[in-house]
Amino acid sequence: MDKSAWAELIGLRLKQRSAKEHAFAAVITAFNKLQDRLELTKQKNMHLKVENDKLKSELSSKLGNPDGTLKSSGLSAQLMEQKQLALQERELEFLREKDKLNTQLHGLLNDLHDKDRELQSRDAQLLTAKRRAAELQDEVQRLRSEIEQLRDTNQTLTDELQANQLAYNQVEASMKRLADENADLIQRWMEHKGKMATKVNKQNEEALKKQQERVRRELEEAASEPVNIHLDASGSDSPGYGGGGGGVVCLPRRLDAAMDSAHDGEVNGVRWSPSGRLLASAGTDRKVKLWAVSGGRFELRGSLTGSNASVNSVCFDSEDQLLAAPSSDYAVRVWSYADQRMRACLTGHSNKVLAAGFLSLGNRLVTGSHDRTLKLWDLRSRACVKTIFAGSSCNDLAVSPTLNDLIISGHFDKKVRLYDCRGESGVGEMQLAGKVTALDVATDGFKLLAATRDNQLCVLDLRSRLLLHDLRADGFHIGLDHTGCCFSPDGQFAAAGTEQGELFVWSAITGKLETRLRPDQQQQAATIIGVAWHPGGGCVASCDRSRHICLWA
Amino acid sequence: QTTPDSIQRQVWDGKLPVCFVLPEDPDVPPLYSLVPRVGYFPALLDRLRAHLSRHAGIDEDSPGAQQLWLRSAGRPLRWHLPVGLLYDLERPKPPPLPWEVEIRTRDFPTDELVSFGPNNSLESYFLYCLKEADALKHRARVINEMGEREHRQLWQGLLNDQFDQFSVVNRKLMEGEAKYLPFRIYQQGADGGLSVLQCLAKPHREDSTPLTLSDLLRICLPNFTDPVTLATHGVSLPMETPLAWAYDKLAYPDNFLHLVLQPGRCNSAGDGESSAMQLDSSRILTVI
Repeated sequence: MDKSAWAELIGLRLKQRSAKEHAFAAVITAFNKLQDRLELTKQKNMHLKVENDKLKSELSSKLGNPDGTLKSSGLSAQLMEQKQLALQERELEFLREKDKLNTQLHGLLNDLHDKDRELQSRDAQLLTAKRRAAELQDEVQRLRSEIEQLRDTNQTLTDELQANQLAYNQVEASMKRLADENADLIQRWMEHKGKMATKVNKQNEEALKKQQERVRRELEEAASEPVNIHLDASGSDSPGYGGGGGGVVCLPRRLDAAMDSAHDGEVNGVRWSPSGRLLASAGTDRKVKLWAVSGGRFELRGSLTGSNASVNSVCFDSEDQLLAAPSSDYAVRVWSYADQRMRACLTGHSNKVLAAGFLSLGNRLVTGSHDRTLKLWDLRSRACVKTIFAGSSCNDLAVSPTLNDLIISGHFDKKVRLYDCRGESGVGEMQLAGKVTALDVATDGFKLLAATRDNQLCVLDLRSRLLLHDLRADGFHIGLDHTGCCFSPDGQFAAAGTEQGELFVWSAITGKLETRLRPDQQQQAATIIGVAWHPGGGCVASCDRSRHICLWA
Repeated sequence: QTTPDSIQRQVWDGKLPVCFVLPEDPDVPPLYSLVPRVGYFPALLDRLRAHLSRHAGIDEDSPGAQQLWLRSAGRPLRWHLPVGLLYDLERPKPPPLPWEVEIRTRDFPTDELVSFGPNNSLESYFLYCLKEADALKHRARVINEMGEREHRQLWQGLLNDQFDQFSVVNRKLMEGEAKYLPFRIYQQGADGGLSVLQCLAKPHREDSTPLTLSDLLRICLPNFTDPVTLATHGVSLPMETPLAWAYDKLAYPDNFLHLVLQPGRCNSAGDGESSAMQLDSSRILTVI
């Protein structure tokens, strides 16, 4: 046989075999499928049976009636049940484990969260700490720089202090030096001044000596000349009281003339006019009388009326035109005595006006009153310009024209007060030993004569305000609170009247009592109230309580 | 290239319908399966065990399931031989289809059967057959040149019925000049014993003509005069068939040409359809 034959034969036989043996394929596959489906259905059946058993057992247990038929389940069902229970148990176990693991997981997560939070808080703390550290660093830096600055300023301050100390030392030394120099200079100046003073004193003494020499010489010359001298009642030497000022002042020796019943009452004060021609007297009869004196006789020139009470004193102005008369009716009256007309009646005081004085510059009048005030009046407006509260009743006033119208007032409280006419308050005051009864200013305006109730006259220097002399004498008694006193026109002598009617004259320069003049007749031994030295210096007029006006020359 | 109609493909695709029964428990439904002729029974043991555990309540781990063995016609099945060969060996004539195989769970005949355990011993046995065949053909050169992966591929291809996967590697073994052709001749004795004959046969005679089967018989059974037929894969082979051609086309996957000696003359073409299909209807249970 050729190749293809047996190959074909074998191929054919293989095909036959396959066809035979593969015939069952479809059936077998179908059978297997059916088997599988059977299996599935069996399983489902089993499940349903188990469930059924369960439900029935539940029901039976609820009913309390165990049914034996329920217990009989097929062997395979029991097996399935057991298997299922086992599976369920395993499932439960798995679930439990799962729960445990879950809780563990939660716990771990929580821990993680806590740790995270802690970490965050730690980080935040760290951050704040770092920031704080940075801040503190900055502050430290700042403080260090501050310290540096302070050190520098301290250094500069110490340097300055040192420099200042040095400068101060130097200045102190120089000051000391200067002080020493100053002291030295002052001392030398004082010495110099002392020398000057002594020199001046010496000069004065020499001048005085010379003058005295001269005077003696003149006197000697005069004495040597045979001169006809006839003594008459009008006194010696010069027509003293007839003439004006500028005459030689000489001591009065005896009572020259007397006027009886000059007034109807006591004569409170007398005053010469500045020219010396007239003598004015003020009385308790409310009148001011003007006299011309010549040859021992008083001629009444005029009588000024108008006052409602006793006139306490009288004074003339420097221009020789006006006359002021303060009276106890609390007013001051001003007359022009040339025509004897009243020019002004100045009211305002609340008590009796005791003294008045004209100021040298224009139309001003100062009055002192028992109401403890001084009033300054303007005569043009006839009004009180100023009221000075002196504090004590003013007994007498005086004006010093050379000292810018210094107003001097003597008071009841033993004080002499000085006022500037333009100022408000007092310029000064001087304490005396007794109540000041009267004042008089010397013509040069620098010396003040004050009569005090303790029977002495004080001579005061108005510039230095020092007491120059105390003028006393035995038997010199001041009789009244308003007893007067006066300087001589040249200021050399001071005169005052006593209670017994005697006139005492001292030297204002030496302080020695010069003369003591007694009245001639007994009837004239009355208390002298006022005294006035004639401006010419020749005589002294006095008035007393017995209504007399006497002239002493 | 092998077409689905080619002899090699038909050889590979040959399947036998087998019905596995458990005679000790008639309630257990039989397992019908189309078992590949070129496969081995032990490869089905897991399936059998699953079937038993499902239906027979025999746990897979139980000793009965572990010691399963198969029996056919009262004799244990020598399951180290390919399935097709076992079927062809059945005396006096091939059993009716589906082939009923009994599953036995007790009394494993350790003196007659090899126990293929779970540790791939079947694979090792298969590879051993390959090596023996290759030793005869190429002095084992080709099989040893192959790596373990190719050996694995051969076994897996056979196990999973993947012809392409198997033939890719098998081609290497089958090509080339073979020194000797590996074959075995089996004869089932009437008493159940099996006689196996193997001898060396070159693919050519001394005059370089191909060696035929009749020459083979003369070589192997020089004194045998009875009219016999050589069959394989269920088909009887004409005597003129060259051995080399027969080997090339009809060799089993284990690279051996398993020939069954059958009495009777091999007829020419047109004489093969003797046994008809016989379905035993009583063995097909109705589906419940």
